Amino acid sequence: MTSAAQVRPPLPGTRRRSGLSRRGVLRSVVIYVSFAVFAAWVVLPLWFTAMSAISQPAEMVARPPHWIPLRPTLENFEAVFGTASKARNSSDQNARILLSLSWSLIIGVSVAVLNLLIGGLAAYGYSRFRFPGSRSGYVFLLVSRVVPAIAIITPFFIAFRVTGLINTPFALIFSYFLFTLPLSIWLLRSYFDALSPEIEEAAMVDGASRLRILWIIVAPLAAPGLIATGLLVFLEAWSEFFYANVLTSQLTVPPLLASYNSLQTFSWNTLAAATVLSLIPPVLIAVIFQRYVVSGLSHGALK
Amino acid sequence: MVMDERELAHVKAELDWSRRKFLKRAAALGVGAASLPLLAACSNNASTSAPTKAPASAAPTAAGPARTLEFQGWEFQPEDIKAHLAAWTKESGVPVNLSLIPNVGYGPATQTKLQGGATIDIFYNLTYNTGKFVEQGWAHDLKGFPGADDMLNDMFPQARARYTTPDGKIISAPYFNAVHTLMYNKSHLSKAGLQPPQSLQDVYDQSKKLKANGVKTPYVAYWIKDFCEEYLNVYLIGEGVKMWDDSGNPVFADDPKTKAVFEWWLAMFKDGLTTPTMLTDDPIKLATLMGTGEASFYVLHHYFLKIIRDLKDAPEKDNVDILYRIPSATGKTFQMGEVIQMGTKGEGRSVDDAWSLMKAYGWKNSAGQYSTFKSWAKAAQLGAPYPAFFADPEVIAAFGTNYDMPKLTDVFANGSDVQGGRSAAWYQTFQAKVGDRVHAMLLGQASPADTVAGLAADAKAAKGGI
Amino acid sequence: MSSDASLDGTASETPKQRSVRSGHSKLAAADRRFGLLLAIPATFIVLLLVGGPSLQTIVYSFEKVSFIGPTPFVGLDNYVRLLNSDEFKDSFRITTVYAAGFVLISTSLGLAFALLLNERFRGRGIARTLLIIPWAAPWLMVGIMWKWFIDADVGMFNGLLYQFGLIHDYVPFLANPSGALIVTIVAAAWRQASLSGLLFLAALQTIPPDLPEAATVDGASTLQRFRYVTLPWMRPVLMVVLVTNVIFGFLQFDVIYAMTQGGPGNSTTLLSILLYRQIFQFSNVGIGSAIAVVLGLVAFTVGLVFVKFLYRSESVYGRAVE
Repeated sequence: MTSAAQVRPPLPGTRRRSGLSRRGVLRSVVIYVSFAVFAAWVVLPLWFTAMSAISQPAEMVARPPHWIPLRPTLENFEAVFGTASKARNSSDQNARILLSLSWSLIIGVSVAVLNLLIGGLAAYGYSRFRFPGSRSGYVFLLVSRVVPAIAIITPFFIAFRVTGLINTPFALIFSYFLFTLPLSIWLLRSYFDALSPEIEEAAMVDGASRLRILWIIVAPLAAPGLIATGLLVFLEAWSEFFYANVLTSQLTVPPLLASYNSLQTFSWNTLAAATVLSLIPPVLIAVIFQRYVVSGLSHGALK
Repeated sequence: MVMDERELAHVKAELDWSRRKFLKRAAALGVGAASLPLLAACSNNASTSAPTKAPASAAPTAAGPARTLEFQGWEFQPEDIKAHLAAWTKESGVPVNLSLIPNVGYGPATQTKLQGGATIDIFYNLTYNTGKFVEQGWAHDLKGFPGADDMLNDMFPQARARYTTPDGKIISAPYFNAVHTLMYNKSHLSKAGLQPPQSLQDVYDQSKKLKANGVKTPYVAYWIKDFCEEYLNVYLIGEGVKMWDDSGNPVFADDPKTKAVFEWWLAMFKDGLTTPTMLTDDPIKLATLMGTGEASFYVLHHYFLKIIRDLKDAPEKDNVDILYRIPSATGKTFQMGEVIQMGTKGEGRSVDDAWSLMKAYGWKNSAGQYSTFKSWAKAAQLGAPYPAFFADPEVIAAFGTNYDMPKLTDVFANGSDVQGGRSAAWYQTFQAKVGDRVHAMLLGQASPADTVAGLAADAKAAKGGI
Repeated sequence: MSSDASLDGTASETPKQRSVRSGHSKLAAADRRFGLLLAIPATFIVLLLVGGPSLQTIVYSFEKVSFIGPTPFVGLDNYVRLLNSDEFKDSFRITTVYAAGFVLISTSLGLAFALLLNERFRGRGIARTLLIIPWAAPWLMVGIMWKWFIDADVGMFNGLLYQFGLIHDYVPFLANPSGALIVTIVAAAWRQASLSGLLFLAALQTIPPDLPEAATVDGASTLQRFRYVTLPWMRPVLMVVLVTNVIFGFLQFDVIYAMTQGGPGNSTTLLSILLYRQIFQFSNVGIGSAIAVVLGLVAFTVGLVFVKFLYRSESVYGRAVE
């Protein structure tokens, strides 16, 4: 430790204690133990699923359990893809999971994009401007989240049936868009609120139209918030089960997993393989964009 | 959800001041907004108000190209389903579109779709749903369709009650049949010096002895909520209890044997002769317990014997045998089966096409073969309600490896009851309650006597249309 | 007003700008029009297409709905039947317990995780990545994974307990009514804690360093710093997290559906499951709609309680958080 560092009180979180000081050791111990507990909490169920996916069913009943399978196998993945050699697998797999994954991706991205566009504009409007009905409109949007979506599915079903959109991705894109719009408007409005309007005002003084300001100035500035919102909306759409189950024939991943779950020919190991496959895209996307989430939620840089 | 604190506080203040204005505005907007879906619902109501009548003749009432039929089933042997549909399409020239729905939640999902006005020409259904679906106008009464009576006459006499109602409607066609049997581990029993059980009391006593001998969970059965109603039939039919009178009123509560059955049911669970997870376990898991020797008795559909014999890593699987006379006072067992029904949205020649497909799928194809039933027999040894099916050499060969065909056929023909009351329009409501009541009893929340009384009350309430 | 609605509470508009904005000039009128134009599509869409069906549900709750016959208006009849129904009362109690446990666990774990991840340590990057992973798993999948994780034959959770000698035989958690309720709460909280953690972490990261630094200069200990700087700062986001968790908790369906389907018995039959059974299994749309209305109202009310409870203007180091 240099004398300079000891003279100035260090910032919290960056406090670097001498490794020999008791408080420093205690702090490290607490932190690393907490880290271990936290990591275990997150990882254990996922580890179990992953290990089950490469295990044979017979190995699962070992006591104490095998933390890593002694005889790993790819047969579960083969069963999911419908290429299993044993004909006992009587479900129509043949890469249905790949199809569902693709649809889930397409639908998720579409919903996110729609939200960012339409919800983003609305959020900006609510944030920057005061107009008649703005308060009630905004509150109404927030309150709409308490509606149990399950209860209102029938009108949607009828509407989609009448328009011939049952079992198409549009039915889901549209429904998910409706239910995630309040979330994205809230998130983005909070973000815009914290974004100083000085630059926009300067641009307006310079004669730029409001739309240009939005597109050229605000959007790039709001990038972290947009990414965070886009990701959260994507994950909400990805996660939805009930509407997908009713409005489509297992078009997306959750209803497909549900059907695997009730397949009598699918053991837990095969189901685990399907689960692992289904987790790869959202986890990848989440991991890639996760650093924007926190900053996007905390509205960018502090002045 | 995520109400901004300050916004909300200010809004609340505003609301207090101008509540009337706000409500007026909201009402105006809401009425306008609500009218759209309400209109849709109204038009839907009108179109589902009455099931269309069955055409009396076989001739198409409308010429022109055939509409693609919609066929819905659950996830079992989808390749076979596709093959059957393709074969029929080849013959008839009518294309068929197949949708598969997961097993879990199949009933509610189908109901939602039909309620929403979807066109499903033929769909799998669970027997206990069929009466309700016809009453609600979601499924056709097939009485009067050409060949419907012949189809019924081709069946085992007592099986007909599943597809008909007392007032003469024909509400479904067969998909598959099965009988409840007792599968048991021969070597467990012989080691304990026991003969196969003949009565419920035997099952209890033997289970106790086997448990003392080290069998972890002697008796397993598929007691999840949704399936308790099947077991209700199994146990009561076995004891010779008449469940419904001719008007469909519950009379099982009047029979003292019913209470005895429920006391046995509770004792099996409470005294640890089963596994506590049986209230939620799936049947494959239970079959695995038989395969590993952790269980000695398994009461479920006969085709689970094949499932047990096909298990991998199941050292005891060859020791598992099947008892064709289910342990009970009468030896009669419950014959269950799931069915196909015809939707009511079809018009003109679609109805005729659908009926033709229905006959091919649920009875015989144009070559006079029970082709679909044979495929299920080969795949999983499922049964059918037709005597001629059991006489078919291909079927006998398919069953032969695991089953004593004459004995099995005899159970279907004479040793089982279909429990016709299940096709009543109100039965689905009752069926759902059975699981609730039985589970409550098993979990110690209600006594057997109260459970029986409660079930009788549930049946009356369901029948009374509440 | 717009400035106050952020997690960190910093102001971003001067009062003059605000007054110009809110309407004393032609420019302001043009502004208002523009704002309206931006906000109308989204708001109108939700109003019509979520508000409409919701209103219809409310209307249904006052009717005896039939799809083959007349649908008469029955006033409060459905609600009265609910209040007299043991099934409903049980479900209400179970839902409340579930939501309480869910909110408690998600919120406290989320806060704990955020505090941890706010510290500097080796591996923090990995830890941050771990935080979001549960949120990437669909609710249904969370239910399926946890159902097997605590399975009585092959579950790893039992395996862990067994390995450490805590149990001699695997425990069938889901077969036991209270066990099932607890496990479904924990499973759902496993995912929700991540969202709460992310929100808390975002707020923690916005604490201006001069605040805790000033506290340290004043001689505050770590605990005191936490109590007098961190916690008050977190009040707004705590409110947001609590209300979010309340809504998710009351409306939870997928996890229960995947894990227990409401069983064993009725021990995990939340109002959402009851609603599902009434509408989709029994076609009692009137009763089901009444349940939906009750559920929505309860979630709204509890959320409102948290807002009122936690919304208090307060000064922190002389600065009004207003």
